[in-house]
Amino acid sequence: MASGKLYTYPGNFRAFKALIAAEYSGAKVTVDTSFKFGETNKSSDFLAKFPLGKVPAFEASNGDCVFESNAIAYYLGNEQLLGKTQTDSARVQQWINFGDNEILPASCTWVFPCLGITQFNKQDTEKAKELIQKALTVLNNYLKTRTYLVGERITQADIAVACDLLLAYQYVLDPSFRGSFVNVNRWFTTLINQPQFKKVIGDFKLCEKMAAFDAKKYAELHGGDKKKKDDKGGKQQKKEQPKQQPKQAKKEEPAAEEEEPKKKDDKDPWAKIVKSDFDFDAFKRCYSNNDTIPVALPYFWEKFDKNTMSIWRCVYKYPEELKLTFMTSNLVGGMLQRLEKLRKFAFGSMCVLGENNDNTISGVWFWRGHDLAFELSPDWQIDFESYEWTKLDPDAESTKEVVKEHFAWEGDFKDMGGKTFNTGKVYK
Amino acid sequence: MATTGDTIQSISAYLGVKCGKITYDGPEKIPVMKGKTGTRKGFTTILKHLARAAEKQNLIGENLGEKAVVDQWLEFKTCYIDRCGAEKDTNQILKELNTYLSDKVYFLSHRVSLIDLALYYTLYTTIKELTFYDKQKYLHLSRWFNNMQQSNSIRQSSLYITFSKTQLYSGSAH
Repeated sequence: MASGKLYTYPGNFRAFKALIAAEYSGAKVTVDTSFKFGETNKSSDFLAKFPLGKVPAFEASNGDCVFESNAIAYYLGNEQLLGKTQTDSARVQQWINFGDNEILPASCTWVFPCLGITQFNKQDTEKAKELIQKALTVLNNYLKTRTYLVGERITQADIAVACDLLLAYQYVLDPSFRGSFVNVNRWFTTLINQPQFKKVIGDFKLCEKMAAFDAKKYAELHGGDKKKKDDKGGKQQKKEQPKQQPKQAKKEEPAAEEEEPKKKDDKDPWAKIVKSDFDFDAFKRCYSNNDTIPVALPYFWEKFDKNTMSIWRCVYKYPEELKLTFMTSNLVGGMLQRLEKLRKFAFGSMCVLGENNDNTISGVWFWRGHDLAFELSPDWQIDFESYEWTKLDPDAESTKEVVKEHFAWEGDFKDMGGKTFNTGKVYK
Repeated sequence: MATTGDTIQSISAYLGVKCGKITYDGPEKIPVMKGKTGTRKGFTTILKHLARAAEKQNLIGENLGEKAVVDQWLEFKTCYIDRCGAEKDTNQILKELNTYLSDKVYFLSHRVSLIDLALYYTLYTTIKELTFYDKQKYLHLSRWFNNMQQSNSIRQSSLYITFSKTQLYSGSAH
């Protein structure tokens, strides 16, 4: 029987998957109590065993090191949990993946803004709600004739999916939202009340009132204290630590809470970025008044300062939702309108490619600084997450080509699957 | 429907305790169990005695509220299920149980209790005779029953009853 030590911060629903599995299989797992998030997992000793530096991570007493919660759970599981036949094992795997792909991303998009971990984006939240609704409908129909997901006994499938739903059931699935999913509710409450679950999760209270975006909390966590953000290692890490961080931040600076919003208004988001000699206004004039390829492009490459500026490429993440090209164009227009102040030290050209019912958006931007400029101000964050952003190497030939295509609005846009230029919008 | 005596026998086998022969008293056919420690009379009394003898008190309920629910359903069994004569009555009972189970896995809380055992053995023959159409009609009851019979110690020597997990009939069946 497997035994060993699990590294995690308290209340980590991913670690629950493994701990509950151990409760069922009888594997002896101890949680490392000396673990400190942001310290232990950044130590070279830890990184040597778990190069990602993420938790949960498991070190067996025989020296085996396993990371990724589902893998740890597998390591600790028994035949009953993992499926007795190949078919059952496949089904268990199927539901684990269902939880990871269909539930977890949407649930995080929806819940994290409520905890102040990420910025609120109405579009994304609405979309996430829809996705959750869809996943729950599938589960609900499936569980109509079944007590558990695979076979007639609790398996890893139930453990994993229930853990993936924990956050949602705790914060946002209020009685009216979950009301119609009777079978899922029955299944979920039965699970969380099993002694093996209770031992790990404790007493769980189902959501009474849907939590909403907490701007104060968000400001508290993100406003001003950029340094802390860096210490924690950026966004990825925060995802792994949904509950602990709000608490920590609260303890440290309870007084900052009220002053925060005021400060932000008169602060220039660009203040922290290195100054650059590139004259954005001059370039914009040049671009507007001259032909692009013979005049504006050479001007751009001549003046471009790669030490203080960066070029970025963006591609719309959800092209399958775009219908008519003029609507796509309006979408881009709306985005550009919402980006006041960014204008000062940024320029972008967005192209709608393709035709009605088969189109997408691709753009090239450049601005001061080397990081994604949208993160400088919460006011700029409404749309940018709908795009995939990649930084371009200013010295590469391919970059020259992409920039040329997007600034001149012509070319064959080879990397966009042969879609041709339809309309364009310039942010200047 | 299984006789009261058979139900008691099955439960004592599940609990691993001996109950001896069950006789019936009077025109109401009240079950009587004669043991070394005395005579017990009545379905509920006998079952609770057996559970205590097996040291499985949690089957009877862990607090007053749970105990009341157990009593309620054992009484329901004696007063309603046992007195079902016509098919119409049985259907009414099945319908009630089905509704009760629509949001539950077990009758009491989140584990198997004396209620589940008593009703499983009592209803076994009735459910065995149900058509697939009826099984779909009593969807929640079927789901509960199917989950119960997976345990060998509960099912004992009786046959598996087949349930369909896919919906066979469309329309008003559920």
